[in-house]
Amino acid sequence: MTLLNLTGIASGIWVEAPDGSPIPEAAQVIISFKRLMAEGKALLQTSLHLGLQLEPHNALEEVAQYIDALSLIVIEFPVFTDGRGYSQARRLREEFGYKGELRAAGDILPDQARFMERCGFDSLVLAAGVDAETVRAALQHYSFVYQPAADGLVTIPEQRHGTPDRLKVS
Amino acid sequence: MYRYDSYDKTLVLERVEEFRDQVARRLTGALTEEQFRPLRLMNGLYLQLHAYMLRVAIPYGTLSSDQMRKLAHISRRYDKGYGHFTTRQNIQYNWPELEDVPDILAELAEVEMHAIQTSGNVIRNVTTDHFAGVARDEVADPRPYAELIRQWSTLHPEFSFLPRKFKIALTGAEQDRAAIRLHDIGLKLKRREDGDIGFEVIAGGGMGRTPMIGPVIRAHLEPEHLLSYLEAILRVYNQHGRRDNKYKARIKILVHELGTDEFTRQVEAEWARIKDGPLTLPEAEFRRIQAMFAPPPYEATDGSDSRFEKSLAGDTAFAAWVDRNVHAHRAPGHAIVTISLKPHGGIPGDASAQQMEIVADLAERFSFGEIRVSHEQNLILPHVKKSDLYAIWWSLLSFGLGTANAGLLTDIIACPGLDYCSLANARSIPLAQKIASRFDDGERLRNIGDLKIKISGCINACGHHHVGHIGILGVEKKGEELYQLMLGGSGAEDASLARITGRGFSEDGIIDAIETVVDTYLNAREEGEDFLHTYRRLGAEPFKRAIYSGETSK
Amino acid sequence: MNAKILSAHDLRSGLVVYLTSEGGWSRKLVRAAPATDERTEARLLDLSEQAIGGNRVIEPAFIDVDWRETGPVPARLRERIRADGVPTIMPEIPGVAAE
Ligand code: SF4
Repeated sequence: MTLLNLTGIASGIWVEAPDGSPIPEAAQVIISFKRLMAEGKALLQTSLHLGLQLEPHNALEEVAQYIDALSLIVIEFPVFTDGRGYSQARRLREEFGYKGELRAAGDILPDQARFMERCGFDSLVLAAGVDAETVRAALQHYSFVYQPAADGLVTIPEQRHGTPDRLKVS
Repeated sequence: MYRYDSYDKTLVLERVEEFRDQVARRLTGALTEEQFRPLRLMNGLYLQLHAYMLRVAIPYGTLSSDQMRKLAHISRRYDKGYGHFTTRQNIQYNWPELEDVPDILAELAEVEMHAIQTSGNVIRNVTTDHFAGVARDEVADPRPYAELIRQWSTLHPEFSFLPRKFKIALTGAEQDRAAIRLHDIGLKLKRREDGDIGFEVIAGGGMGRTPMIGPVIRAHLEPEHLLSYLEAILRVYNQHGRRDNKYKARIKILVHELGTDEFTRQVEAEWARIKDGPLTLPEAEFRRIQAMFAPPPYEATDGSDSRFEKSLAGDTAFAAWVDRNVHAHRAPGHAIVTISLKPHGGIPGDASAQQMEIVADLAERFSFGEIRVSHEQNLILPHVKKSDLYAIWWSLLSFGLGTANAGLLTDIIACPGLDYCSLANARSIPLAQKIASRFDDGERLRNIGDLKIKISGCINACGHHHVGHIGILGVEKKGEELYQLMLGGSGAEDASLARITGRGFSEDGIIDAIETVVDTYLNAREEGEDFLHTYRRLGAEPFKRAIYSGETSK
Repeated sequence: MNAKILSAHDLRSGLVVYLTSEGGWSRKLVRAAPATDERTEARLLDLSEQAIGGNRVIEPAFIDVDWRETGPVPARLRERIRADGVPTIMPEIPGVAAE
């Protein structure tokens, strides 16, 4: 497995704490959604840096109260065709104002990296056999974007007209 | 028509190069077929029954003469000299080789076309009224909005791995020629009582194995909020649409399972959050696009045309064609022409390279270089001077394009079926051909009047059988093709779903049954009543009785 | 005689091909290698796996045929049409018909 850093965010070493096992002696620990729900309040009192592992069905509304305390959120893509994680990422960034590291893990195709970058991911965990160079090349395919997303890129319509004034049709 | 600027051009060329790279990786084995399949599908490349099939987008069904010539050229150079126009206003090539596809895409890019998102679980090519911009009953032209949606949805980073495919259709007219109630999202431009124009938003319609007529989820959406509202709908769907069962993954199932009210509440809540954000349509961009859809410089006339009237009076075959295939136009002295791709005995929706070129030439000479593709698999010349109609008709006749059957029984929609499609249970095309032969009599057809027959080779309903006045569904039973008969559907503003009549038929049997249905209608109709209205007035019973009478009970 | 044969599509052309007893791929149904027992089936499957690994063919699948004196006749209409290599309504398309 390779960690591909897209945005240059400092990541450091993260240790996973499986449900039911004691929180390890480490500065940066990743816990599950379930554990966050059960122990989140108590963990907030410690000096730990908290990371959260999200599954596609986890409700972001429940995570909202912890957003500022989280330094890493890992969004899992169980199969590459399951696109829920893209919406989770954009919502975390744009709706909940999450500022920490956003990481994609699971079944990721090189050609999806660009979409992930646009939805606000900082880093990708590439499975064995996925070539990081191919991913990097795929990130470079496009010069322009049509639609706004979490990366704040200037869109084609904006480039065409400079600062947009809003449309009124009557 | 919309013309690409350097941004649009760059993006499409970059897409070609990306796909070229993907094909190269597939050929070396760096990509397995499992990994490559979704990538090729996102670019419209399927594997069908016999070979690959490439589906090229014709955004909202609009083509220039140059684009049509390019389509003809591609069919000759890389394929077998013909193409198939589909119910989604696309064109399909049935025999491309994998290695040629990047070159085909590069040729398409030369004329500002592409195959982006013509398949896969993405927002598909947006479709619209094929009379957009020229229809008399139009409140506003939907094409600028369709183009805005095309751009917004192209390579959308969040919505490229949806639970299932996603189809959006728009109209600006009273009469619904785009089947907006049978799409994942349907949009209709309407003028409110206070004079403001807005979209009526429909969500959760669709055909397939669970046909549904979509409910209205918003009566009036200000046009500047179109994209943010679409994004809200897609976000709710992307997160909550079912992914456990392919057959329940379309948005219609989500709308149905949540209930329209709850679904609408979720969409509105999401929309409230993103409304007035960066997706709000910038005025300057809208004006830029709108300007490209301005009406062409029609020659001013008072609408009367003695030459046209003379041909009409003097040539009954021409008059019959005008009666069916020529439609009222906004501009006085002008008309809209439907070029039938349904010659009796032909393949519905197919056009040869030569036919494409003839249509391109006619459009250039007589229709400001513009052509439309209708969801009924015909071609349209949208801006024709009435005085040119006679010349056009003669040209069309000599190339097998002059059939006077628009909207008649032989103007059949048929999916490719088991002749091409790997999902099919039965053939659709030969059945359409045989129905047309059985009814190959202009007088009889005109007497029968408006009647839409739609044939699908399997439950996926690409041939729209659910909304046929007469719908036919092919099934397989004990290794044999069997056809089920359905009656009373409509995809128009009075949308309804066809109901199955009873046990299925062999190929000959279904043609007899159709004839019986037609005869029953002719006997029972009231003055001026078309088939659908007679059926609605009488219900299914008299038709069923006629079809199944004389049958020994088993 | 009931038998199974293995069909696939050529990766480059997309056209239908059948696995022959020499382990090659032919456009002709008559050249397909019949399997009437599980051991032969396994062997054919093995050969097709190799061809997939070598990026020659895609989408392999066994189809049921009735092996007659004249050659194999697929049980399903779908496979009979596939074996023709052309749609039933356009048997004259050049360059793709199987025979
Ligand atoms: S309806 Fe079925 S047979 Fe016809 S094209 Fe669609 S999937 Fe194929």
